[in-house]
Amino acid sequence: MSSVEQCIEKATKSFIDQGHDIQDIKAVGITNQRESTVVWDSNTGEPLHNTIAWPDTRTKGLVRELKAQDGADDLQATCGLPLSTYPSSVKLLWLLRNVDAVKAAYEEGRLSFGTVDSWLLYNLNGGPDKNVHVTDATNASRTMFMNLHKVQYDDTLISFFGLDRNKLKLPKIVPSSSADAFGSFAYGPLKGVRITGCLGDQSAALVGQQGFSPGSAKNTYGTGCFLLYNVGETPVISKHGLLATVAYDFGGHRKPVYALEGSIAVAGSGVKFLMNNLGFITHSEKISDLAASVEDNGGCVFVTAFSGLFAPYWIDDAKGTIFGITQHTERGHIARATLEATCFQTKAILDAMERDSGHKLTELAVDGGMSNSNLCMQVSPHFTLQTIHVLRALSRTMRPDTSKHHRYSSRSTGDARNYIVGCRYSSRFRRGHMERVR
Amino acid sequence: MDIWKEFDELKEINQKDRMIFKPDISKEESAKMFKKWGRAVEMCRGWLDADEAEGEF
Repeated sequence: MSSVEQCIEKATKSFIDQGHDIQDIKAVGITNQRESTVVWDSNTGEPLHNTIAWPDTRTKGLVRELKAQDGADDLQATCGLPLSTYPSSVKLLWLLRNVDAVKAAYEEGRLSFGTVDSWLLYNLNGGPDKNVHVTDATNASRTMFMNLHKVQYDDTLISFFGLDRNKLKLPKIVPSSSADAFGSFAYGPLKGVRITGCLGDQSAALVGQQGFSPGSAKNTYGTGCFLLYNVGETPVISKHGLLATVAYDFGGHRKPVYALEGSIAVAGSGVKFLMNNLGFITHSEKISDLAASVEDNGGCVFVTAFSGLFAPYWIDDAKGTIFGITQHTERGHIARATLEATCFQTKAILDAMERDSGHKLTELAVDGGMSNSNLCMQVSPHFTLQTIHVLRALSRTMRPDTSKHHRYSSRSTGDARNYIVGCRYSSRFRRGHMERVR
Repeated sequence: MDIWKEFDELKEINQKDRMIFKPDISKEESAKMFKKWGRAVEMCRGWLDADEAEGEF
C-alpha cells in the first residue's frame, strides 16, 4: 500500500503545484496488473502472504496436476481461459497448499481473496471498518472463478479447484464503472473522493484507445506485447489458443463487452537483447536509427522465440533463430529483423482473432514503450495492412508496480487514460468533473 | 470536462498526441514477407528434444 499512498501524495502535490485545487478532483479510477493474487485476514485486514504477481511460475507443477483432473477440458468454455500458471485461482490454490497462515484462515472462514484492485479498494476505503470487498468484471474474468457468459462466480469452476465458497470470501463482481460500488478514500490527500472506475490494465488500454466497436484492437508494446480485440457483446471462445475475457463493463443499461486477448513474449525484450547481449546499441531508442541504416532486412528473418512461440503458433520446442545470414549481413539487418518479428507476430495474432470472432479488424491502436520507435510503427502496418494509430506516452504516468521492487513505472498510457474515460459518473451527479490524477 | 453518456462524446479525447501510420508497401510485398516469416517459424520447430521443451503452455 505504501507505494500507492506515496504515489497519490506526489501526484496530488504536483497537481496542486500546477495551480489546481484538490477540490477539482471529483473522481478517481483504478487500474492494475491483472491476476496477481492477494490474501488477507477478513477480521484484521492484515495480508497473510506476499502477493503472487501475475508472471510468477511457482504454480507450474500445480497446473500440470490440475490439467490431468476430470473437467479440466471444460473450463475454457465456461471462463474463457485455459489452465495455465497465470489465473488467480491457481495462485490461490498454491497459497492454500503452501502457507499455513492462509490455510488456517480458510479453515476458520476468515480468508479474503482478491486481485490487486480489490486489495487497493479494500484498503483505500479504510480496511475492515468499511469492508469494501469488490472487483470489477474485467479483473474477475482473470481469476478463472467467473462464468464469462453470466459475469458471475460459477460453482463448477470453484469446486474444480476444490474450494468451498463458505470458507472463502470472494470479492463481489461489479461493473467497471459505478458511482458507489467502489466507495471513496478514507484517508490521505484524497479523503472523501469517490472511486468510480476500475479496470484491469489491458482493458484500460483498450478503453483509453476507445476500442469500443467490434473489430477494433489495441496492441501495447512493452517488454512483450498484449493485444486485445473487441468482439462485441457475446464472448468468443478461441480455437487458436487465445484468451476470452471481459473487455469492459460500463454497467447500467449496457451489456458487458468482450475481447479476445493474445500476447507476444518478446517485443521490447528483443531490443534489450540487441543492446545488452550483443552490444549493437547503447540506448534502446537508438534501435530505429540502426534499423534505418539499411533499406530492408537484407533477407534476414529473426524468429525471436527465446522461450518458444506463443499464440497463435504455440511452439514450445523452438529457440530464437536467425535465418538468411550472408557475408553481407549487417547489424542493421538484424535490428530490422528484430522489429519485424514483433510485427509479424502481431499480424498472426490479429488474423487468428479475425477468424475466431468473424469481425474484421477495423482499427489497430498502439501504445507502450516500443511504440516510440517510429521505424517499428512504420513497419507494423505493412503486414496488418491497417492504418495504425499510435498514442504516444503522455507525461510519465506514476503507476505503482506490484512487483516486489515497488518501483514506479511509466507504462501503458492507456492506464492513465482509464482515469478519465473509466470514470463515468452516474447521471445522479450533475456537476461532475473528471480529472486525471498524474 | 463533464459527464459522458454515449461513446460518441469521447471522440475528441486523447486525439492530440496521436500519430498515424499507414502501410506503404504493396499487398504483394507484404504477403511475400509474411510468407517468408511463416516458413522461418516452421523451420525453427523441433530444435529442442522432447525432454528439453518447456511445454508449459
